[in-house]
Amino acid sequence: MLKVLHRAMIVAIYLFLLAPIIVVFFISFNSSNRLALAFEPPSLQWYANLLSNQGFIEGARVSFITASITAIVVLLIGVPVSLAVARYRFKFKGAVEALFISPLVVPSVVLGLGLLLVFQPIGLTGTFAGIVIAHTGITIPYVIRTTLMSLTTADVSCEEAAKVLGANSWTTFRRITLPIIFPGLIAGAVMAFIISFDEAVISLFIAGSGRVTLPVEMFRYLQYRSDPEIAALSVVLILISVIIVLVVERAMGLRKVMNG
Amino acid sequence: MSSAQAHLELRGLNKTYPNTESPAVDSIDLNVAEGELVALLGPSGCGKTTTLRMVAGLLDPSAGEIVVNGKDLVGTPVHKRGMGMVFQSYALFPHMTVAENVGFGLQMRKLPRKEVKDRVQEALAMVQLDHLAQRRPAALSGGQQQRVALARALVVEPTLLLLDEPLSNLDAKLREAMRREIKQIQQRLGTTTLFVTHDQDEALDMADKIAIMHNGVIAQYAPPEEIFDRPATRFVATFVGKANFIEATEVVGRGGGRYRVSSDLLGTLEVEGVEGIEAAEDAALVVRPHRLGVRRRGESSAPQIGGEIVPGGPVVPGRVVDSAYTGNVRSLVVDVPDGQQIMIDELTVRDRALAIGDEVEIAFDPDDAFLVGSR
Repeated sequence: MLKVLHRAMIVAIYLFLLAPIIVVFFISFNSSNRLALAFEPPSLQWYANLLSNQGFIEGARVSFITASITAIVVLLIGVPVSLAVARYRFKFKGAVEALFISPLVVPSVVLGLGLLLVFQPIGLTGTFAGIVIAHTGITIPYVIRTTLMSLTTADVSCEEAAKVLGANSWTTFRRITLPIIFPGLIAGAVMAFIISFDEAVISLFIAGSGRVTLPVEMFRYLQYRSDPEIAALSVVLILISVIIVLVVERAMGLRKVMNG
Repeated sequence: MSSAQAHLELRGLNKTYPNTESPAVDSIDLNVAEGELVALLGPSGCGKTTTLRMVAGLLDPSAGEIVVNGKDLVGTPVHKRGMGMVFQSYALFPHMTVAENVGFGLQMRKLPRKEVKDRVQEALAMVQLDHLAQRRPAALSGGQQQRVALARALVVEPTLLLLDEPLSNLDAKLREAMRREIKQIQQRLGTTTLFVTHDQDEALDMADKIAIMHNGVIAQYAPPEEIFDRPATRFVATFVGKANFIEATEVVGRGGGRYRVSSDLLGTLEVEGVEGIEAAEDAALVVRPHRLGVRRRGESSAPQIGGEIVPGGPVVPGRVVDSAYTGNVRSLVVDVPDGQQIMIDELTVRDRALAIGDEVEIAFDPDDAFLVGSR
């Protein structure tokens, strides 16, 4: 009896978590043209419409480019910072670490407004560069976290052993440290990509009349239209996320990646 | 594999960490001859690992010189020192195969691929692991990982071999086997070796000479037998083996490290001791528990258990207050007249055991007592 209750509980929790996705999934295949639960004959027309929606296609292109560049930029900044924090002693180390983690605790609305006020006068609103800078700021804490985790769990004596065997600092990093922390880097970069791709609030602030990411485009679309095309797009985005997770899982084991 | 024999000398080597009062390593001098295996032995925090890391170049000394074959290495970066080191955790590269691990140092030396391959093969054969060359470290047992670490350190024909507690992660049986194996390989190659351990058995078994470290200084540097039989300080006597201390009341130097020593317990004896002791204050006789003879009081015969008795040597009455049996040896604690307790280790004999409460007599051979001073 208890076992049955236990099972029911688990099913209920999963239903609660998955309900929004199930609903979206259902609506997206429905031929009704209202964005609501309806029981019309199934149809693929909303998916077909997606392909001709220039706004969404352009938004996806912008999001893909900015998310990719963001993922690379955060690695280029995050890895050296993490290395410095994990392996060296220097003044204001705590302050440096706090500075790079702090975007996590500042509300997005505040960040968005601040960035808008800074970007406006220098013409960065609505540009690739502006979006990348903003997204780098909010995703770098994740990369630093995962990289630091990998660095602190890695055996420091491996690096020492390499040096004793004749490797200089750069070779040690390239041949020993980097391969050992690589799963952590991938986890951080994937997280940065997904967060950047998904980010709406800050992007909305700094969009101006220029480049617009997919979430902003979707937000704007919803203001004027309410048909299941947006649901179809959501399903596509969910599938992309699932594919990314599966690929990372296959390539190196997600659990290992997430644990650094 | 061969080894150019290296001579190591530490001169006034000092390491003082910032914001600490006393140095971790306090201006030590140490001379390691070509081909010798020297153990740095001491409790944790005594400075032995700090010393080893300075020799390796992983830590910069605050002062002093590290002289290898006449050349001071201080200031030479770690990757240019040409040493071989085995770490406590083995520090095998987890993403490389065994062969790649062993070949890493040779690659860094930019040797041709063919030579790297041959020498890796040779090194793995030396530690009997040639059949596991393509495995990853994670797929090996602790003892096998240890051997890979040793092969990786030795394959580069290092000037010095540095071992940092290499056996402490192995279980007891394996540890003893590895002691012999490391010692044999070290002797065959003739690589001058510095070996850090907190395990006295390991040091006594493997080392040509032992440097006992305590609070950042070397308390004694001598071959194992001398460390055990002629400890330089009370600390050495207690750290290596078990020791009874019998406080001296009067000490008269007789020259040549011999003394006439009086104590409440033993009367006056002529014994050997550490040179240069001038006063009885804080001086004590060290007597090892297994060098004492013991018999039930009233038994006329000489003790049949324990050490050999010299006729006419001092005999002390006492009462057994504790007895611990460990198979080969029974460890007794005996109350003696001056309020002290004496530890005695006697080899067990069938059908004959002293029990708690037994009145006994303890016999000393004065030659087994050694006088240590206040230090």
